[in-house]
Amino acid sequence: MSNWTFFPIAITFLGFALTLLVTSKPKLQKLVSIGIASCYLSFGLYLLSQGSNILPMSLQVADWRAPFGITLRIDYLSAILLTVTGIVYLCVTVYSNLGDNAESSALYFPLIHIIIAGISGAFSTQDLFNLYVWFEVILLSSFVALGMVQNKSRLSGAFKYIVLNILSSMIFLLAAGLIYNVTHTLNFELLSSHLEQLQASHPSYVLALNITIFIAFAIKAGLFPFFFWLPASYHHISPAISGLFAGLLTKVGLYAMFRVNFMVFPADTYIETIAMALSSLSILIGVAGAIVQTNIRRILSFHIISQVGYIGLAGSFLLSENPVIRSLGFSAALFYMVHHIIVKANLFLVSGLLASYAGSERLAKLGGIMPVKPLLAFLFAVPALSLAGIPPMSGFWAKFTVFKTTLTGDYFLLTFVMVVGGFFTVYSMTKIWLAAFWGKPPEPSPQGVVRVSAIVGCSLLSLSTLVISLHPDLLYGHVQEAVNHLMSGVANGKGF
Amino acid sequence: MIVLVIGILVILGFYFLQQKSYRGIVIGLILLGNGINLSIFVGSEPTVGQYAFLDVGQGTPESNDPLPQALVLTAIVIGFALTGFVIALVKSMMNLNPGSRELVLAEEDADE
Repeated sequence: MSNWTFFPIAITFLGFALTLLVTSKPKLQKLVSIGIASCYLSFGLYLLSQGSNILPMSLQVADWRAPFGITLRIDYLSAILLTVTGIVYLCVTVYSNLGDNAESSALYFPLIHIIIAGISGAFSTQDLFNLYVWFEVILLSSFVALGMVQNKSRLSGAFKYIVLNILSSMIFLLAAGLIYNVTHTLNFELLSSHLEQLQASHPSYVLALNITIFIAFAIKAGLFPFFFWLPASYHHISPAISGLFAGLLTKVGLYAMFRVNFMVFPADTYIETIAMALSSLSILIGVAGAIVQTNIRRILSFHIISQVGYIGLAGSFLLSENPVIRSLGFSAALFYMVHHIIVKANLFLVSGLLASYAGSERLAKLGGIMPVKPLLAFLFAVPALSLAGIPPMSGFWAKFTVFKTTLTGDYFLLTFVMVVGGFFTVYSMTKIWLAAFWGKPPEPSPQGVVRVSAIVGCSLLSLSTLVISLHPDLLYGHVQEAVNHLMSGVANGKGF
Repeated sequence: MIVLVIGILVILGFYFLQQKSYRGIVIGLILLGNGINLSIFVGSEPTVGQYAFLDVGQGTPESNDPLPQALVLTAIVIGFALTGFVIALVKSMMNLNPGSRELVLAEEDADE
């Protein structure tokens, strides 16, 4: 079974190669992509259905032993994230129509595959430097995606994205190099025991390394005050690929932060305080930024920052001394992450539907869509209500688990911050709803055509949201199992 | 001595990143990247004149740790690709704003 650990990476590379072979036939490219994405998703679902029977599975690449070779390992946490990645992967490939809601470049589908390859690699590697390499794979392919169409505002956004992300990679590289030089290993399992020993003799050195690598991941995750690249670039790219970016890229940064800062490094109250403070500020600054925006996808971009704050806040309870809070908090973070990936990708894709129909994403140029296109309104309402956290949608359960953690741990200030953040989230979702779906339609009435395949892509994501909403125990069961796996690993001193 | 070089590279790198010109940012990224690569290499404390890797049969004495060198090699290759991409991007941005060497960033809210 262990060779299958490589499957998610291998099949996306296969997709990349196959779609490159047929660059002159966009229809065939799309068909191949859908096939590859379905295989990827079914693999994820199979892993989850087998659960603890086959997880975690690990592979020593080329049979080099652990301190020297690279370890790939899919544990329960990775399996959940790979499955969600698969859902977004499939829906985005179904949704994409070149030249309509996606860039009309023959490189579009190959790029999607390679981005997913990078994400799968980051989710399954157990080696710090290998993680850096996967980050670069994601980064370079997203750069190409950003630069595919050349107009002034898009390239300006791309420039900010690229410079800040290169800076973050450099900080990551520096930290990885320094960590290797003091511990002489890059393997997560060995690192955690070596860092534990180093913590006893040189606590300030470990803290410095921890903060350095934390900053690198915080830039990737879009936490305050490192988020400026995100709302500058996401609304310039096509809806299809922005859905993929919005759903997955910042969450890879968060995942890396959880895995490296919160699990590999010895628990540290200083880092816990920093993570909580930055996450709370992200919640507030994100929604505050969203209020003044008038472009739908820019509003949604600012919401990513505030939602990343919620996930980061829940995740930072991993550093808590109380084991109950630890497991509650991380279950909440994981549940929130899964819910958020699906909902956020869906909102970006649906705003693409609105743009195809009405020809604009500015609130001032939209209006009265509800009576004309009730299906569009419904497709927007499902993720919007869920993001706002209205019961019984998935966002409510996600927020509920985080609130439960903060209240159990007596963190009243954090609870208050989340309530304020939640209130303003509802406010700006209402703003989009009022301006786009109610009110007077603009003159002349829009005549844009919405493709069936695009609607199917969004419906699949909405369906996933509805399943999580009405059956939260289904997801929460898996999440708890994943957290149990991690916690028992920690107890035995050989986790992650 | 080499530590001083790293310091100068990183400081100059950050200095150039502050510049409001295309050329400054490209040079800044290159200098910063090289400073970081050098610091990883030096951090592994390589000794000049030692064996590059151990030959088990010969029972040679201590060798330098080859892994940091492999890491730096990977980082250089990736850094080169990134630099190439940034230069290409800067070139197409300059084509869109002809005659300007200053960094021109469009209004974020511009509707195009």
